[in-house]
Amino acid sequence: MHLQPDQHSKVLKILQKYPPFREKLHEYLKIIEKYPPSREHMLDMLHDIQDYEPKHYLPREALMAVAEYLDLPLAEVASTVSFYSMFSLEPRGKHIIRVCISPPCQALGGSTILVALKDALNINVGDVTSDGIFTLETTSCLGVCGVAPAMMIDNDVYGNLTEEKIQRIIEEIRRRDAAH
Amino acid sequence: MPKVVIDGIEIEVPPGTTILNAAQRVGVEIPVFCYHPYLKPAGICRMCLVEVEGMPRLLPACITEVQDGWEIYTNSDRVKDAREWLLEFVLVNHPLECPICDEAGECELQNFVFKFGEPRKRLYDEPFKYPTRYLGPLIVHQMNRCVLCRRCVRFSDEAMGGTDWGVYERGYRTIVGPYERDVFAQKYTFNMEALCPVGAITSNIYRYKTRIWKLDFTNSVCAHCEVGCWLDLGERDGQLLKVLHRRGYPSPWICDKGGYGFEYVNHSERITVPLRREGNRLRGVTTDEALEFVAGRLKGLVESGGKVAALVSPHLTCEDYLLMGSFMKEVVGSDYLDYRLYGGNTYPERPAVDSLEGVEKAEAYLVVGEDLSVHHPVLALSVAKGCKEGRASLYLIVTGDSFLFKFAAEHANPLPGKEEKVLEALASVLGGKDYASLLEGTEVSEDTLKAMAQGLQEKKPLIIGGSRLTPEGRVLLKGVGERLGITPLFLDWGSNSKGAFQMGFWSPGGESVEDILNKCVSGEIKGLFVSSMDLFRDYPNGTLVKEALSNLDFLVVHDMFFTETVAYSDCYLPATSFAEDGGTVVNMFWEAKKRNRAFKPKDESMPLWQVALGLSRKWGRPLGDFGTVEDVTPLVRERLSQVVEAPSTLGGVKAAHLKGDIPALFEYPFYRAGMRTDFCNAFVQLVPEPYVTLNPEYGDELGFKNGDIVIMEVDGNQFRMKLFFRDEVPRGGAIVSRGFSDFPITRALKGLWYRGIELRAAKE
Repeated sequence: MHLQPDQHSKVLKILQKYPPFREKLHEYLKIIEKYPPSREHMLDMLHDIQDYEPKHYLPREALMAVAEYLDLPLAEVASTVSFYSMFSLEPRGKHIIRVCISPPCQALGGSTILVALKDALNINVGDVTSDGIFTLETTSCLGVCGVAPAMMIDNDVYGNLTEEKIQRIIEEIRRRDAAH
Repeated sequence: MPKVVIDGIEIEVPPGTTILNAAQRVGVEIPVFCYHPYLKPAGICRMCLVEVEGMPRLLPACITEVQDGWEIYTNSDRVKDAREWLLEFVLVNHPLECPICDEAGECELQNFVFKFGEPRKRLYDEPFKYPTRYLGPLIVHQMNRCVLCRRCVRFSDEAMGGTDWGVYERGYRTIVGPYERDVFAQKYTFNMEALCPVGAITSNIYRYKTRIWKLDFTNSVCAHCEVGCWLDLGERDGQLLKVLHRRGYPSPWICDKGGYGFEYVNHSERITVPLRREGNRLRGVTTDEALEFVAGRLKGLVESGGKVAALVSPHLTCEDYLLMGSFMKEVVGSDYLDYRLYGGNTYPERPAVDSLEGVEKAEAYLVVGEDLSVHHPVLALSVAKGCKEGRASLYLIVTGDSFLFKFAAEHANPLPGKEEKVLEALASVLGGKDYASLLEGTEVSEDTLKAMAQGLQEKKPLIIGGSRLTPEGRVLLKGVGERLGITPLFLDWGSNSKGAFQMGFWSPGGESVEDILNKCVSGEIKGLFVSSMDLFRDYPNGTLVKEALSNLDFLVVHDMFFTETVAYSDCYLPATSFAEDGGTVVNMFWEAKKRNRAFKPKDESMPLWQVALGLSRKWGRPLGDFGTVEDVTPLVRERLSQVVEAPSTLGGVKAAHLKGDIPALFEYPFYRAGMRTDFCNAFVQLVPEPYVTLNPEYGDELGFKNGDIVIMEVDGNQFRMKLFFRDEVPRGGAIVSRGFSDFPITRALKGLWYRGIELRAAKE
């Protein structure tokens, strides 16, 4: 897809402004230009960019693209991004594991699950595995207390977890990835 | 009108009044952190919780509007309890370093804990610790002390239209500060420090100097520009240590020049004794000897048929101009005196509005020929206010505006030296005449101009003519104003140009500073008196100044520092700063204000009116018997009420020399504009050396990179400096900074602040 100069004078102006980041900005602007340049679309834009990024994070250029597109200071976009825990400013793995640490899951052994995951992946909460496949995060209630303890990997929920089950799930995802 | 009872006091308030405002009316104190009268209410801090009869929960007073019949308690047990809890929570992570905190004594947290808090701490846990951030020479940010009221963020957002200052993360992990900058200095930074209720943002200049209760505060008027903000000067032991803006007038905000630009008063390089030339040396003498020497030499010059002239800074008081003017005109018999040392050949004119509120009320603005945020920063905030709220539209014909362009509906950014061409074209559009040819070579499109003309006709604008306008430009702008039925507001350089004009401190023949300097070169003027201004720094023709000063028989300089002008002098008289003497100043709305003396002059320093008085006594024709500045004030008041006609200066300005590759505008950076800013250490650190700015696209085209070292060539003179890319610079032009007493950049100029320059990369 190429930008038409007359249609996207605003986008082109932004591209001219930051020559060193031109390529990266160009990619992001292509994603966000379907939204009108008004503030209420900021979250949508940021989500789209984060989903597009293979490492599921928002690089500085993404914030710059959104800030320039909306005519906001970079600091304001940064404060929005840092407010929401679903956005990340650090590169993350291909799959994001979110373990519930709310009381119902805790009561049924949630912390054991977290320890098991840490051991299985050999990382701490917030880190990425060395192969870049998994990021381990914690989350508040996922709303599936009936199958506690629970966790979420990307968009799928896994319940009634045990240590063996976790091993199985991780292995399966690894296998599936390798097959692709 | 709703009737409410607050702590047993009944009051009727207009609908929409908040509980807090109603309580303020009856004089009941409700503690607040996040509320500020000039910021929009936010309801963040919960310090202002009050109890309302019949409501299940406590309500935040700053955002809750009163309803008829409410019974409000601000002092009940529940409220007291809530305050105690809140303060205890705030103090969980607070470092309690009041003994070393600069805010102590004026800290709202300290006051509230003292008044409303409970001396207990029940949670003993390791507090969060954040590093102290030294954000450049102006402010220091200490997140540990922050109470998360977000006043600074809201100021940056609401008044300045967003800067690199925000809140990040949330809850107890919240952090406030700049996102990408290590140095935070944004023209209005002082307000953020002043707004901070605790010591999270403190001044770097005031850091660890003294305690607030040891300072003696005197009300005065800022000496940097003609907005004339009221200041409170905090003095201790003859040192000016802190400036506050307590009265919030004429605007609730002031700029960094007003808030931080006072360091020159205590500067260690200040010379406070008179000096007299003996061969190649300047020797210290007594005041008496110096005045005798000056009066004698001047008298000798006049008796032998030579002329004497006086060039005085436009930052002094009316009393100074009045007595110096009388001395020059009546005693010396000179016709050559002037205050317009920033160059230019215009005299002040009466404005159409009389206050900043009047400015804020306008529906549209047309600003021509000045970067308002540099020379009249508070006026720029007032203009921005309506535009930010969407009430007003802003039209700019300004080369390289650095602040207001964010708010502009249409921004004509002409090449340097072409502002008046665009103005002429605008007048033609409004008059229905052909204008296309006028826009040639200005880099302004016809569409911009058409939209501008249309917008100006729809709403009644306030027209602001900047200090860069020539007399011809002013005539053009008046023409535009007439067509729209408005008298423009013309701005001048210096904080008291209006006063100097009204006191008659100008040549009756209408000679400009350039004419006076030319007469020095030709030998007609043999003696010159210069006060409080370094001609080499501010007059835009360094070559002419050099020639004139070296050609003089006798030069007296009345100043605070050893500037280049002093180096040419035969006698140096020490001057006082604005804090050391009172007087009357006239602001941009022709309003007379009184400056008060904060402390006594250092050593032998004298204000100009005393010098004039002393000289007249030594001459043998005393001007009168004045003991203090207050004795002169009645004469000033009388003069201020008179109508003064300015001589016509049309046709006096020669065309700008724009030959060369790139037309350039020589403009002060914000932290270099104003009085003696090159002796304010913090400002010198912020802008240490001159630089050239180019539009990024244009810079790319020329093959430069941001931050390159370049050689600027003008008339075979080479200046080596740094090059930066800035968006506000028009394509095809350049903006060069000036205002450096230790860098001879005015040698590149020829009387106007436009000049054609050549740029090339410096060889390493």
